[in-house]
Amino acid sequence: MKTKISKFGTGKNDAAYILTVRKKGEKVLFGIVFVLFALYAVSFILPFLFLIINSLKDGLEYINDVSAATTFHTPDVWRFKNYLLAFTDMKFVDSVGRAVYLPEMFFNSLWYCLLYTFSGIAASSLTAYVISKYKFRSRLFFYGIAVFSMTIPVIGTTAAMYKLTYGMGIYNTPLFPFLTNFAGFGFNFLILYGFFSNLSWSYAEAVFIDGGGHFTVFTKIMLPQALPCIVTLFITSFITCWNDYQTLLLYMPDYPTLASGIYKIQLSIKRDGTKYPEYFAGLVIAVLPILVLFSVFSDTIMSNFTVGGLKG
Amino acid sequence: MVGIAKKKKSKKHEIIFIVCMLALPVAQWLVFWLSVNLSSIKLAFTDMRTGEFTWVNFRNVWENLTASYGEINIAVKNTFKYFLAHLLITNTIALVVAYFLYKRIALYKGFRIIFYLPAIVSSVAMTTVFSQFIAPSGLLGNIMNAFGRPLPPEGLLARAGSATNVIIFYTVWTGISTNMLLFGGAMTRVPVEILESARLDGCSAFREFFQMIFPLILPTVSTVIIVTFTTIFTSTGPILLFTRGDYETTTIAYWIFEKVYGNGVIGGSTANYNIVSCAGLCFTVVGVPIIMFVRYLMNKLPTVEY
Repeated sequence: MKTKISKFGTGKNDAAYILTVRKKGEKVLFGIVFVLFALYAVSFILPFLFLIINSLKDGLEYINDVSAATTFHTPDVWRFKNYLLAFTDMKFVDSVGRAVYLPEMFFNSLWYCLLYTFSGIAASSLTAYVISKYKFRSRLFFYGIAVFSMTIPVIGTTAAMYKLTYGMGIYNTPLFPFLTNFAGFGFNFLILYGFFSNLSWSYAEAVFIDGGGHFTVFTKIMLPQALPCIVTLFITSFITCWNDYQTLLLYMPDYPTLASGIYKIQLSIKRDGTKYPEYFAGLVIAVLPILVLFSVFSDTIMSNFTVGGLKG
Repeated sequence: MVGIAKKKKSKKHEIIFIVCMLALPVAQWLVFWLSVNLSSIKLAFTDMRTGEFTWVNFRNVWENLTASYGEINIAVKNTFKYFLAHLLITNTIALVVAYFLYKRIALYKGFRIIFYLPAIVSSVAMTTVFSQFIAPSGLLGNIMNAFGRPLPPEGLLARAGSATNVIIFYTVWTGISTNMLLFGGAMTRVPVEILESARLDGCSAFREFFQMIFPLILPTVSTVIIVTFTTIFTSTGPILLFTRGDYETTTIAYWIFEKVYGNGVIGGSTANYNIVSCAGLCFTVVGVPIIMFVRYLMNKLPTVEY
């Protein structure tokens, strides 16, 4: 017998079909909410449309369109060249007078975010695994540190951090993202701690019987099982890092990433309105990699969000 | 005897393993968390010029806080505006949106991805376009002109009376993404069998939300509320991108950032770091009891095992 499939792909034999059952009055309510959702969604799509259309205009045409309130009009001449110019013309001049162009910013974004993300997750994996799986005397103390650091905000430490990184000689160097983010007791720790706690220890015992050691258990048995959780944390952390501009402005001024570099470029663009289309092309280029990454992993991100954080 | 020796050796290996695993992260925590916090407290009690112990930073913070146009005074007022908007408006909208997505409103999968976009798209790009939209010559300006109510020529972001409200509107507009997913994640864990039997008993969507779903996702709601409180004084928002703190838009977190960042000079601004640390310490002392009290209240809420 054929199962009746509802409009949204839920069969009646699926218990979740109840979520799509609506009474008469509710249908009206859902109709109104649908319209509101559609408007809200359009408000997020419009900015992209605006960026793409105006990134393909001539500088003067853009200025004329702004004053004539026709910014959403398609370009008279489609200037795909703006994307090339964004790579070759858009620049930021660092503290020693060196011009940094978009390709270098892209490269900086890549290595900075990889270092930042890798160090954060690596450190949390080490601490979360040991504290969740080994019963030693100070484990509760370490767990307490993590909870305390997460829930009690210590405000205004930026100045002290600034002085410390400057004093240590890691200010404005690639060591900064690695060392400052090699933090084993933050958000990632709590998520991984929850994950490792739920893993069975019998796998480890089997390895010990076969003569394997603690490192073998960790690297060959436990880490591979935590991979889905680690991948989710990696992607969300990478996206956050990609869009972070304040940390880089403050601690890595000579290594502009796409986020911090484009912020700096924006300040100079404001003086020359004809450069806006190139600038918009640069923004599209900056946004594109993260949109691609998100579209590939959107299901992983969406399905792994749960109570108070992420599940493994 | 062999068994005991083997056990001792195994214990020794375990200790070595634990030490190796924890050594670097603990060292990192000691240097970049503990010592930074201790050093920040020390800075608060240190005279900027002489380097000696002083209470003068506290007096300066107090004077700046109580002067009607003091930077800290304005920052505190704005901080509470942002906080209230986030706590009451953004979180409520996120909860309602999550409910309708959970109830599989038409195109819910598409909406969920689109509503999450602000969390993944660079805020530099978003604020640039938003600023263009609300400019006197932009989309909003033209709509207002059509209604015969033109925007002020300098724009809404260049006026002390409107700039903060506009930025707050922006943070609400783009701010529901993460909490929407957290609430949605919690809702998907509610057993649908409960909803099914309630529906068969004639339960309306209104009662379903307020009497069933909301109580069941209360642990997540309380987590979100606690996080909102913990970030009162620490999240700067997009102020740098919109106004750079001009037009009375400063918040405490932004004021701290701005004091240290200065004009982006290499090696830091020439600002008085001591007053920054002192203000931070004062707000920590005020903030921690509030957070502890909120946590206490949240722990008192009844939770349901399911």
